[in-house]
Amino acid sequence: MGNSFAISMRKRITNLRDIVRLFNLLKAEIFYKKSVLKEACKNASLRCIYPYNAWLNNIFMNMEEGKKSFYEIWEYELIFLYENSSLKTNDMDLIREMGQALGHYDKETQKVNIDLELDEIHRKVLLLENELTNKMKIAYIGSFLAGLLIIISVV
Amino acid sequence: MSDDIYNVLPNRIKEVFRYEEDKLNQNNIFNDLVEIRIRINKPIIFRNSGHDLIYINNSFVDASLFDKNNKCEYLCASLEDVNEMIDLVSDYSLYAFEDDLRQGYITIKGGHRVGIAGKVVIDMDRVKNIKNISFLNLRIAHQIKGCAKNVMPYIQADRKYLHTLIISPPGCGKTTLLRDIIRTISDGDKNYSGRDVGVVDERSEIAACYMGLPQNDVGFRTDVLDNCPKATGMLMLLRTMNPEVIAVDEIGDSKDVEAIRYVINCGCTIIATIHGDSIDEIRTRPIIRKLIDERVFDRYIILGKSMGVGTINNIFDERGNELLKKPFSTEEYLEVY
Repeated sequence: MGNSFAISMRKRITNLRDIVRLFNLLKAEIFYKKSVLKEACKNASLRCIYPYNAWLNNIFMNMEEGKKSFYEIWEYELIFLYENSSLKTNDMDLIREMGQALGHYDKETQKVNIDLELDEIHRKVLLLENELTNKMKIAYIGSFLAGLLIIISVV
Repeated sequence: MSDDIYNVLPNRIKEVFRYEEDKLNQNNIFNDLVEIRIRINKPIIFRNSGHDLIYINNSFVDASLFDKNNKCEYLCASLEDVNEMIDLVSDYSLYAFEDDLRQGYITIKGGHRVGIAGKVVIDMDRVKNIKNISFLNLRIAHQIKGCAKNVMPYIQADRKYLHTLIISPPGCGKTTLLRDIIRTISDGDKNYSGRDVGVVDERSEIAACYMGLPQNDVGFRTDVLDNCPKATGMLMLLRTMNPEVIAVDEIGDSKDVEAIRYVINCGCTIIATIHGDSIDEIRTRPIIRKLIDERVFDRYIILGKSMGVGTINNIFDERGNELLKKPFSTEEYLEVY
């Protein structure tokens, strides 16, 4: 049980780091190439692994259809990302907020908003890593004590 | 109405078009659509060549019939409509069009231009942005292939193209004519084989590039520098694309003039346009006067509206001699002087 918790936690941390990388790719597309959002999503998808490439590509395809706004599409496609990753609901909230930060503002305000969201995710990654370390320590101590108890009872 | 225009209209206007589709097709109401003007809390104006239409009491009528004191159902734009259209025009990426906003317009797919007005944000005496956007002017681009057919013989001589300046007031078709001249030079015609043409399309009006691809036909031997300042663009093209002809729209400042001299000294032909009514009028500008007095240009084409948009009022040579017997529309047959 402890082992599966650790694996799930590690996957979640890896996914969050992947999200940070993905947002940095989007940021570069937006600020250096001045790509419009759908182009930025398409280009970033080419440099990501599954499920992120598929997620961004879905956003691009939906935007090409032109039936919904960017934020509507972003929010809808979060379901795909949630189902295909180890991210939790409160992680998805951060990604949802990032969707709100994109597109509406001038470049400088947008940069500030994106950097704020990235900082939030970095902080979360650090918190989770600490939590994982602490829980692993508790798990080791617990398993050691359990082993000791078994030996004492046998003896 | 092309999809490029339909797709950027707010949903409320789209609904009107869907509802009125049969009537519009039957009466060819929007065959000559030139502009759609959207102003918050004012009737939306659909401008044909000749008159303005508004949608009132479920039909399109002449705008002169609009009476703001009369309480009737007319299609007017709301703040939500304008915001929705800005989102559609900018692909939900207004940040990507900051440079365009500073110029006051955004060019969309198809080469159509959306003029924007609102509150201008100034920073260090420079336009930084436009906010509180309340006025939109969707100018519909028209490419008229063949409109330069009757002009080409005047700008060709001895197997070469002549340095040409098209002088025109606003709205007389100079960009349309320039575009077709570029296309004809690039593709070639019955008298002259095709040449490599370089176009500096500073405002994305000539080739109307979208995601790097020209939306207008500018010929298959044409290279386009999109969204590039004219002077810089001319030198870049010379150095890298080896054109035989360079075309630019709306020259005006000293940098443009210097670059034109450089281009000509490098053996390249220049085809340019300028705002103005006549050679005498543009000669009042010191920078342009030098070009005229030094006989840099071999041909001057004067455009007007006496026979409709695209009227060639006159063509002059470098000495100011008239080459045309009388004005002609760009659709008329060639008259030889």
